[in-house]
Amino acid sequence: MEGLAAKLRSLSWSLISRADRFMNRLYSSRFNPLYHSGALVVLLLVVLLVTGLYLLIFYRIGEPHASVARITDQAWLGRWIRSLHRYGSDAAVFAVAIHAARLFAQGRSWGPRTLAWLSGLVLLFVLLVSGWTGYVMVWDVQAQLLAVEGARWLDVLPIFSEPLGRAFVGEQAIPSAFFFLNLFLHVALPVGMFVILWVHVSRIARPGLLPPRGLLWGSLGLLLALSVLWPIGMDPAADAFRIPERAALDVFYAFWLPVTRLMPAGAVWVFGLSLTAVALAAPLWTRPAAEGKAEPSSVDAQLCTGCEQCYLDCPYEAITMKRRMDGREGVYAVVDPDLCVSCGICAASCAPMGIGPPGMTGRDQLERVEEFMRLLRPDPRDVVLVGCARGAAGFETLAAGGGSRIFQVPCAGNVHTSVIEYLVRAGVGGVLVVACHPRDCWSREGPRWLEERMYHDREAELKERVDRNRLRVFHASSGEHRELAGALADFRDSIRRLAAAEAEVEIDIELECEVPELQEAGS
Amino acid sequence: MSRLRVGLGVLVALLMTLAIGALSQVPYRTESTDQAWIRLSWRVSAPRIEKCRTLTAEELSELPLHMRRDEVCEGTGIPYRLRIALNGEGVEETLIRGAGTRGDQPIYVFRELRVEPGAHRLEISLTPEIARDVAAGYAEMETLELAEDLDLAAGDVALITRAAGGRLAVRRAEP
Repeated sequence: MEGLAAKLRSLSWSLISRADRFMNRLYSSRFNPLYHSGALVVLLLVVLLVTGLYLLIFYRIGEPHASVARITDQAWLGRWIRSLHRYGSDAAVFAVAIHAARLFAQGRSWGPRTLAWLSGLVLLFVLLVSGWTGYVMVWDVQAQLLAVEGARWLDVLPIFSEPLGRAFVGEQAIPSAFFFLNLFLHVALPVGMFVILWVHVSRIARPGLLPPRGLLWGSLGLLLALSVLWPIGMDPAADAFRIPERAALDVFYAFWLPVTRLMPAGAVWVFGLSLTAVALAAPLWTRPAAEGKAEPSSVDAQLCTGCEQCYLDCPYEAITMKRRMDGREGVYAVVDPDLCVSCGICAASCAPMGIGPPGMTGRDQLERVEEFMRLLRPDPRDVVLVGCARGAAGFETLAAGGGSRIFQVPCAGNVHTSVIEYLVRAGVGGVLVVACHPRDCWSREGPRWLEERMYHDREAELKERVDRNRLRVFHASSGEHRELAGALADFRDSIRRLAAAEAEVEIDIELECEVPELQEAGS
Repeated sequence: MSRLRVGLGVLVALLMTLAIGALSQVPYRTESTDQAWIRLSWRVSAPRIEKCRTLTAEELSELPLHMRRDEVCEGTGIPYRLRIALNGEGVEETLIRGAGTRGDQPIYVFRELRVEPGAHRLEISLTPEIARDVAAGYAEMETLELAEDLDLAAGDVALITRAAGGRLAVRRAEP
């Protein structure tokens, strides 16, 4: 099972990283929509809420199809607002699918992230059910198909004494109560989604709930243009006395309909429940084996100064500050192992190196880098890559071809600045830190804190005495080897120029000038 | 960023947007309208057959005080036999029991027959399946029958349901 999960994850990651690379080249990593899939869903939910309020004013449960037709006939407002509502909900499903696939591929679906994974699945389910109710509200041919299919599924359960499907055969007019229930669910479920969304991000310190402005306005503009130029039309009203021949099917919400209509209702339940169980159990079957799991952070209370930097930097709010009980004044950091994802970001935030997962603390890193340098025996022209295990993954061979070595770390945010200082002072020509793109960090905030520690004096800051000319940060995803190779070559050139310039500075002009005189005097 | 890259970026964004528009309204052929459907949908309240007996003193003593009754009755709803014939040929004969775990809830008929368009002779009967001597005690048992000539065009749906007075009738449009 574990092998299968790993293969599946590797396959999805291979596809996603290729798509990432393509999108980065087109839009830059800052505006890559694939990196902002979660934030785009929130944006789209807000769009759905606003447009839904407008539609709610004109919708009538007593005449569902006619009232939606009237909205659609409002050429200047209603038509495109309805279209924006529809296209926005479609885009939301698309963004959710990308978001879920990304987290699955990155293995961010187990341990402390289980709550986010499960609440995300609940959000997806509620979104799909909410969409279902929205389509039934229109009561056109597609609505009829969805309602009849839903009733067919439910009728197989031994809980109703009367088949629900009879409600749609024209024996009686469909009561307004049915449409009221639909309307209620269509309003209540999205409101509930915002509550689940709060749970979804509750373990994240600083969730990015909205995409950057350029992407936000760009996405809205495109959806708006689509709504105006290609508005959603109206299918004929549902008619129980005509065979529903054709419908305009929304693939995002009713992708399953052509398949399930061919299956017995019992088989649909078995298949649906199995799929749900597999998705819900993902935190179990995507969890690495015990030996592959990193231990959560621990704190050396003797070293902790109570500065709170780790508490501020932790992306998962796994650290709290507690009053000291050892007779010393102040507070000290305590890690909740159930919330810690072992990213090691706290290790880099601690100047006295008193916190971090086993093997990843500042002290452990210094030991490792000491050994690394002992083996490397640096040349002043050498560039060492301090590479995030994800961003620089698979780059070792390429780097080694040019004479560079990679000092690998689990996350760029885990690199203690003392390691960088050590490398420079030990004599390497330059240090190229390879981090993931800021919005694609698997530990959320690694590149951000790295940048601030290196260039903006965030604790534990890189000391002023370290020559910044010998440092560079480059953001790359695992597929961007060509870009990374380019950045490495560029940095090597810059280090060579730096070495040449330094060699020139070392020439004592006075001495150079005096020598001939001395020679002359001597002669 | 080169012009080519900007242009490509805009193109990809437009294509993705158009894909959302296209996938939002994919033409879907749901059913073949070369056929016509006959739907059967109605309910019948089936009388309950009960067998009652008096509890022995020993049985009564085993029951809690508030549940002690001299006579207990166990039973189920009377099953009905549904017979459907189309153009003189039997297409279904089924015994239908009442809904619910005890089978004492109303009986529902909910069927769909797919037929060729054109004229059809439809005969339906729903009769209680019970011995005559037992049936004598249940004067209100319903028997439903229908014999009707239907002329169905392609794509038509005819609904057989209960009309005023409880008899079976054909309906061709919503009430």
